[in-house]
Amino acid sequence: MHTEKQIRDRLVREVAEIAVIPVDRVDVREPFASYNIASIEAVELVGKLESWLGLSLDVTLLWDHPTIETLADHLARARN
Amino acid sequence: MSGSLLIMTPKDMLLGDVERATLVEIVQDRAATFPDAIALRYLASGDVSGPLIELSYRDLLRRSCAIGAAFQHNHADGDRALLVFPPGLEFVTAFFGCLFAGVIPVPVYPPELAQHERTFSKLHAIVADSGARFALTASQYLPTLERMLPAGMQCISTDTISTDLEASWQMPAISSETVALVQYTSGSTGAPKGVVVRHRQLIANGRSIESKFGPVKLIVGWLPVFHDMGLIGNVLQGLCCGSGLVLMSPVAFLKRPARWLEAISHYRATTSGGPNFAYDLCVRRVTEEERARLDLSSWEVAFCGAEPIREATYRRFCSAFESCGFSRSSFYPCYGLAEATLFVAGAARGTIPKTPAFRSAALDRGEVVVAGVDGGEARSLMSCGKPASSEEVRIVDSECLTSTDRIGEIWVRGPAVASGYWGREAESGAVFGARLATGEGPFLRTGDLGFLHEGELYVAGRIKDVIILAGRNIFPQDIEATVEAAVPSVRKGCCVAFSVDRDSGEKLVIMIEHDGSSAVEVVRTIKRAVVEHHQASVFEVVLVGKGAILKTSSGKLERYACRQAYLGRKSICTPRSKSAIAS
Repeated sequence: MHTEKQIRDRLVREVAEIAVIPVDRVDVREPFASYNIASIEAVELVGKLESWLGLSLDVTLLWDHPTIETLADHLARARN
Repeated sequence: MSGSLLIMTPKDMLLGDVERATLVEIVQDRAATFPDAIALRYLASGDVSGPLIELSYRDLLRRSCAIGAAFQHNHADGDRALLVFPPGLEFVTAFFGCLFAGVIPVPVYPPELAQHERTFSKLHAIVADSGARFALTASQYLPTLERMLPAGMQCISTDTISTDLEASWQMPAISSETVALVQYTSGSTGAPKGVVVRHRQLIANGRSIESKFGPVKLIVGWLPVFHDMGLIGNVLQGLCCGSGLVLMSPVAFLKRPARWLEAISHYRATTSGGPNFAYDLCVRRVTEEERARLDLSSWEVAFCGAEPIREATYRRFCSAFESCGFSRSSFYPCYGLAEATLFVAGAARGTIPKTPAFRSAALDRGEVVVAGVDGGEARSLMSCGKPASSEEVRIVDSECLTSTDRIGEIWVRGPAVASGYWGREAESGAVFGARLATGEGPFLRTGDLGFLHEGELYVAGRIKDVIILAGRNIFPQDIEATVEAAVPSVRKGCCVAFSVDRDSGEKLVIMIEHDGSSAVEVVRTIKRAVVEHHQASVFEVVLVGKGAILKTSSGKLERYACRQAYLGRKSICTPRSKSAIAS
């Protein structure tokens, strides 16, 4: 079981990796789009979250929950 | 795996031996000869252990006749029909249903994407350009589609058409000359261009692929079916050659790339491929654990095309999957484009790809000089092999319109070259009916730059400014319009978009004239707008001083010159300009 904080931290690391920036420069309230996360990166990220959380997730996940904060909140609820 | 792979002699499987004028006759033929053979398997989840949907040739024929008959009741002969489907078998039966009624299929994005703002406007532009009267979809998307498309278009869900209708189907008046497909891959968002492909061109292209790829026992594919490589290279090639076809959705592949390789391993596929980025994705994302379970020794043709092919990708992929039985000689670079139906040139099957080194300085001058041992900077390029035997490739100096030994435009002539762009006669004449100064022709002007070396084709760039990201064509003027709209402080005509080659692939760079105030905010806004409108990520935003963006005397943007300046860097960053570089 992953807490909202764990999910949020994981998302920050993933976003930092895609955007090639240090984790402390990732703002959890900034839309994913600001970090160069376009369609392919978004689907890849959803795929990674699926394997990690053991959930089946929709490809439009990052459009429906466009920031790390809102997505972590959504996933924590979905998980519990 | 349920159902059985029917064993057929190689002769039965070859398209080249079947003298059929249309794809309709080919499907009828297959269904008469091998009714129970599985034409197509669809891995619903992308996992080989997940649910499997199968379609036999008999089922394919029955569904095609039923959908065709529904059109015939509507007197739709010669009309265009958009295909707006989620991944799955329904797209395939709808495509053939169109052909069985003499209706011209126009594949477009799946419904989830079509709802997205940008694709939505492109969809409307395609409707207007093609004059489509029908839109076909799966029943769960019918209400969405009816809401999205212009009033007056008839939306039909093909999965609710009763198979009983097949009895009323009649062979339409079609021939090898009948248009079998309008493929929209060219043109900017505002002016999409549909490539007109006839039955005879699809069949000629299928023969070319077959002669180059050799006997195919099974194709595994995840490429989008609304794109030429997925539709023609996988679906039509698999169905018409009767070789057996296993499909999964592009999303299933992107979510977990190992699924692609697991399907090849499980089904002992011989033929499968994708753009360069897909091979890189596998290197990056397939885990040690997943790798340990793969057997890729059956994979004979790992075709790679649709975007520049990188030697580094080839080497990384081979070393990553050698332990799974993947052979270097299976990696298969090829070159083609929708305007030539699909395939133009490809490596000799079963040979190790050629990656000779050429002198960089000479290439930059447009000259082809093999790098010697005496030093100097060299660049390795991947050979795309020889043209298919029926296709003729010429390298042409596009100023003098004569053949050249230097780098020039790739011109193609042959039976698989398409007929033109739908409803655009003048433009089609210039692109599809080009002639050399001697009057020799007609040739297709590809807009790609390349050269022939020892009879093999090397692609060296593009004349057109089009940017190719992950196999997708993006037009710089669309990106520039988005940037100008998103950042009011960017004046019109003071922004250019172009791409640069990096080891990891082609990357998008945006250069704007800007005073540098709140640079971080501007860069962020631009990246966000480009992602939202074009689903493309920006490699770098470069802010330059006023007047630094190069234009012709008539004020036309010189994207190529800006790109060269960017690569040289110094010449463009004048002391008074601030350069905000964000990676």
